Amino acid sequence: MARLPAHRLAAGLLLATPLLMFVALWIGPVAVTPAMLFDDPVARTIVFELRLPRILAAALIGAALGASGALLQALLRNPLADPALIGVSGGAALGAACMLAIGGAGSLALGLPVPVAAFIGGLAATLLVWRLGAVRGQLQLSAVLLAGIAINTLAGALVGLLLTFANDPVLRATTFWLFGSLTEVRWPSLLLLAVLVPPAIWLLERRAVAMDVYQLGDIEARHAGTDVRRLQWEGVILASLLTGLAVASAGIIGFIGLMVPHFMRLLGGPGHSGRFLQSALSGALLLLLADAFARTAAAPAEIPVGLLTALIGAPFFLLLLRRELARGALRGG
Amino acid sequence: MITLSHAGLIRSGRSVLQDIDLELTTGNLICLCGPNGAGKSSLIGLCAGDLAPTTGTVRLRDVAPATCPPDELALLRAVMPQSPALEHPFAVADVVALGAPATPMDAREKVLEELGCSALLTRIYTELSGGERRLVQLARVLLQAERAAHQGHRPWLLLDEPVNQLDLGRCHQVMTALEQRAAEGLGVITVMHDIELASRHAERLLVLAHGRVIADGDPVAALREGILEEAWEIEAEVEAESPGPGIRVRVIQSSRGPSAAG
Repeated sequence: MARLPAHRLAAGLLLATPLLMFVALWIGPVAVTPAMLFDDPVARTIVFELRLPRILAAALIGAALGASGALLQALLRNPLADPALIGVSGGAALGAACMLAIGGAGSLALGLPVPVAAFIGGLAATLLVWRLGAVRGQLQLSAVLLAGIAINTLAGALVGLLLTFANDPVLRATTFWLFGSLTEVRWPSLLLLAVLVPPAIWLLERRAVAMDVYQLGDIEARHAGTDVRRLQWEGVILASLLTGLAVASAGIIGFIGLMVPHFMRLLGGPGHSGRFLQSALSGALLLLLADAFARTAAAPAEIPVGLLTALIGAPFFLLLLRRELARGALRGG
Repeated sequence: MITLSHAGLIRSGRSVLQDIDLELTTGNLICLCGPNGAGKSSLIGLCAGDLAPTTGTVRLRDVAPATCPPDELALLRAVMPQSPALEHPFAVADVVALGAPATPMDAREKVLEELGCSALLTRIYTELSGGERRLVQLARVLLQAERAAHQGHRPWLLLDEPVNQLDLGRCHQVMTALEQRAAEGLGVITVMHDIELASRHAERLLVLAHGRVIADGDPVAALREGILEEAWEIEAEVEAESPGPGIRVRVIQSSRGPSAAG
């Protein structure tokens, strides 16, 4: 695949994302046209109170997942790294499951308690993983990966245990939350996403050149003048924040963090300049599309969007993988 | 100047370097030779700031390299490690500039040309052979030093086996490029396994064995017969090339095992 210049890729995505956000406003089980906003209060409610927050959430959460995937793949020098690997998804799931088990299925409708519990769970798991993966303040990336897998498995087992003893409404609420869904995103978490996600992406873009040098290896990057330890810690904090916010707001939405940066690398080559912005915008685009589909495909019922991204994402990813393997172009780092 | 005084290094409970006293000056090509496991890479690591000495001190232009911030250190020295781990399909032109971002394309091409491999500029790094990758990595290191020199510093080049895996022609091109850098006033220390090649190009040659410097000086004087036996455990005849510079080594027998040559 020929490489696209970074600025053209970013420009195209910058144009496409707001366009799709606007189009998505008029897609849904109830037909609404822009003209109806002037004289139909129901249409106004549907567009401004139901669809707009949801579309903003899809864009911000997709952006957070795409950017944190790109960051983790750079940080671990591994194209197969995924936000779920660092333990944050598992921890967040456990936090949410605990809150639902204690507060009952009704706590989901209260808005804040479940996302807050999920965020705390995700943060705790991430801190544990990074602590296990660091020796005297120096991150051992293979240990981080292994610790992340172990913590995720442990958290998964604990969630399973909680579900075994849960009553039916709690079981149903927890399961749906785990599938990942944008239906429960409320204004407080939306505000938090809006305030934190764009600056985080900006911070990442400022580290793009250092991330290129970092791909040489820890010692070589240090030789070339990069403060590797600082770059790693900043990366860890940003990745945990972005993934934690996304998972806390909408549950586990898989594959965007793995697939989007991978696809951007196929299009734009291995350099990191513009990579975080591109991955964020593509993540937003993908989640907007998936959510529009989730809302309408089986209307009036809704498909959890996390299931959808996995259903579309996994085969698509395998297809890409096969193509790259056939070209001999995929090399693990 | 790099100064090591009574520098010693213990790694994983094993003494790797002992009591190293050296004053290394810029402007001449210094070759570091010795058998496998003698501590050559560790000595480079001490000078580069990758490792802190367990005993004694290491000074690189008045700073202790192990505690110097990486961005400042990058202006004082550029390092070529033995086996860089880059496994991403970057364009060669991009890899060369990793040590000196935003270097103009013609400067990148020029440094590759000096090493006899300007044709690699548009290739993809991961599609290169082992030797070609080393040339590209060396070009990257030379460019980092060039950038530092432009900013008014006189950086050191610390190179761990730069000619490893290179063909005869490239070996000489690399050594010539290093001589050129030394003549421009840079400090150059390079680890070499080919002692004949080292003896032809080095102005000063150090022999390291069992963590100690056992010979130091003019190559012909440093590589006397007794030293070859002591360091490499081989019985060999050494004769000075005439016309010089350099030496020629004829191995008679390896004292480690069965006879190596008749």
